[in-house]
Amino acid sequence: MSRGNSAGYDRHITIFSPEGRLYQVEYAFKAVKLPGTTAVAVRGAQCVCAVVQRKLPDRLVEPDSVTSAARVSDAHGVVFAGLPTDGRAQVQRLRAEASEFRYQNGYEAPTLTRFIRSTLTCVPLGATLLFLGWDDHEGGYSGPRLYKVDPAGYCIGYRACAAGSKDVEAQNWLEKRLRERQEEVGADRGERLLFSTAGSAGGYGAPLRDIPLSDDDALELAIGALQSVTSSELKPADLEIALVTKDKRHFHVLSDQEVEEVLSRLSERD
Amino acid sequence: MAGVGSGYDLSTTTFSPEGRVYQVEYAVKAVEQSGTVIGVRCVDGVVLAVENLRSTKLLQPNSLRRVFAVDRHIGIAIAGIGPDGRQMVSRARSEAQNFRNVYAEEIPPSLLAERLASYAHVYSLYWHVRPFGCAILIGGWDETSGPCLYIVEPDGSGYKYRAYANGKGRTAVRTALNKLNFDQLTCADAVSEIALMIHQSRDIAKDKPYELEMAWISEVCDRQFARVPMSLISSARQRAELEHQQMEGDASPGADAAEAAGTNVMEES
Repeated sequence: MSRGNSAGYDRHITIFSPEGRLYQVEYAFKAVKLPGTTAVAVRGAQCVCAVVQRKLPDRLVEPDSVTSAARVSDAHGVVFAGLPTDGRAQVQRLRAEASEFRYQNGYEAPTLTRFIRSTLTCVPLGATLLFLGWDDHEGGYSGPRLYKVDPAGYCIGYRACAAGSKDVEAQNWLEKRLRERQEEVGADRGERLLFSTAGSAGGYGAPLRDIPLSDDDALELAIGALQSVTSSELKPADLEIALVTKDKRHFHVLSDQEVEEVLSRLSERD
Repeated sequence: MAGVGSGYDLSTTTFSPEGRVYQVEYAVKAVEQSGTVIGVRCVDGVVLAVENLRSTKLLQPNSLRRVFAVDRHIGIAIAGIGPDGRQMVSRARSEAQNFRNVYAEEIPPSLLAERLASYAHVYSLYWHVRPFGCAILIGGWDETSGPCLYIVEPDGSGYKYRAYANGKGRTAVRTALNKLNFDQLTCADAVSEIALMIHQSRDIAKDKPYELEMAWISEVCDRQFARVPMSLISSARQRAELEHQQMEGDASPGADAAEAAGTNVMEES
C-alpha cells in the first residue's frame, strides 16, 4: 500500500499534493470499485438500456429492497455503481431537484445533466451515476441519452459505457463489438475505413460513427458486456435492467419476470 | 489490531487509498459490541427482541428499554449504542408524526426506513459529526404488503430483511436463524425460538445477567405495536433454559435460572 508516497497530502479533500493531484477524489474512485459490482449501459437509436449486477449483502435480505436503479423523473432515471448508500443519497438529491424544477417551471426538466451541480457535496461520494433518459429539448435534440457522472463530478455523454469494479474491461468489450458492427455496416455500404481502429495518441482510437442499434441490439450488447466481466453465468435474479424506450419515454425498471423474458428472447436470437 | 486504517481512520470524510471509509466501518463494529438484538418477520407479524445486559444488580428490573413504539404500526429495536439509537427513534417519531400531519395517513414502513437511512448516511458526510454507533431494526405493518422488517445501519443502508441479528451473539444466532422455516413461523413460535437462540448464544460464565425485552407488530395485537406480555417472555425464557440444559446434559439449574426467577417475572404490571 503506497502510504509513503502521498505523505499526508491525501487525507483531506481540500489539499492538493505537490504534483497537483487530489488524492481523496482518486480514493473515491477506488471506493466505486469496492462492492465488486458493475453496471453497463448502451444507447440505441430509440432506446437507452442499463444492466446492473445485483449482489445481496446477506442471505436473509429481501432481494426487492436491493436496487441500484432509480427513477428520477418520468423520462429520466439513474443507475449507480459503487457504495449503495452514496448512490441512494445522489438519487434523493436528483429527485428533489427534478421535482423542484417541475414545480417551479411547470414542465419536466429536459435533461438531468443540469442537476450535476447538486450531486457535488463537500465530500466526494463513492458512487458513479449513469443517467438514462429521453432528452427532449424543444428545437434541439430529442431522443435517448446516456451520461456518466463520476465522483469527480465529470459528466459526459456516451454511446455505451460501464461503471463499477470491472468498468474498463466492460468498456473495452463494448468498444470492440461496436467497432465490429461499424465495420460490418461500413462494408455493407461499400465504405473503407479511412483510419486504423488501433489506438491513436489519446489511446481511444478513431471515434465511432453512429451505428443504428435496435432496442434488442442495445440490450444484447449491455448484457453481453456484463456477462463478459462476470465469472459465473448471470441468472435473472443477479440482474437489474432499466430501460427508456421511444414508445413510452418512461424510465422503467424491469420486474424479475420481464428480465427472464428478455434473457430468453435474446438467447433465441442467436 | 491498531494500524489497519492508520491515518485514514481519523475522520469520516477521509477515504483510505483503497476507497474505504474506516470511521463508518468502526461505527459498524460499535454495533457488534452490544447485547444480541434479533428481528424476525413471521407470517402474521414482526417480532423484535433485545438481550438487555444488566450491568449491575442495582438496576431496577425491567427498566432497561431498547425497543420503542414509533407509531401505532411501527416499532424500533436498537442494536449498539443506546443513546445513539434513541436519537434515531426520536427522529423516526418526528418523521412518522410529520407524515400523519401532511398526508393524514400512517407512514409506510418502507418510507420511514428510507428516511432514517438517509438520516444516518448524512452523518457520514461531515467531519464535525460522527456516524451513529447503532443499527436500528424497524418492524412494521404495511397496509399493502403486510409485515416487514427493515434494518438501518450506520453506513446508511436500509435493506429489507426476513430476519436479522446483531450484537455479541450474532454469529450463533445468524446460523440458527438460517435454519428457521419462515413460511410457517408465527409470532408466538418466534418468541420461543428467539428466547432459545439468545440463551444459547450467551457465554454463561462470562456474560452479565440479562433481561429479555420483546415486542411485536402482529395480527395477535391487531397489526399494532405491542410489547410481548411478560408471562409469554418468562415462560419462553424458562423453556429455553430447560432445553439448553437438556442439550448440554447439565443436571443443576445454575445461576441463570435463578436470575430468570428474579427478572422477567417480577413486577408484571
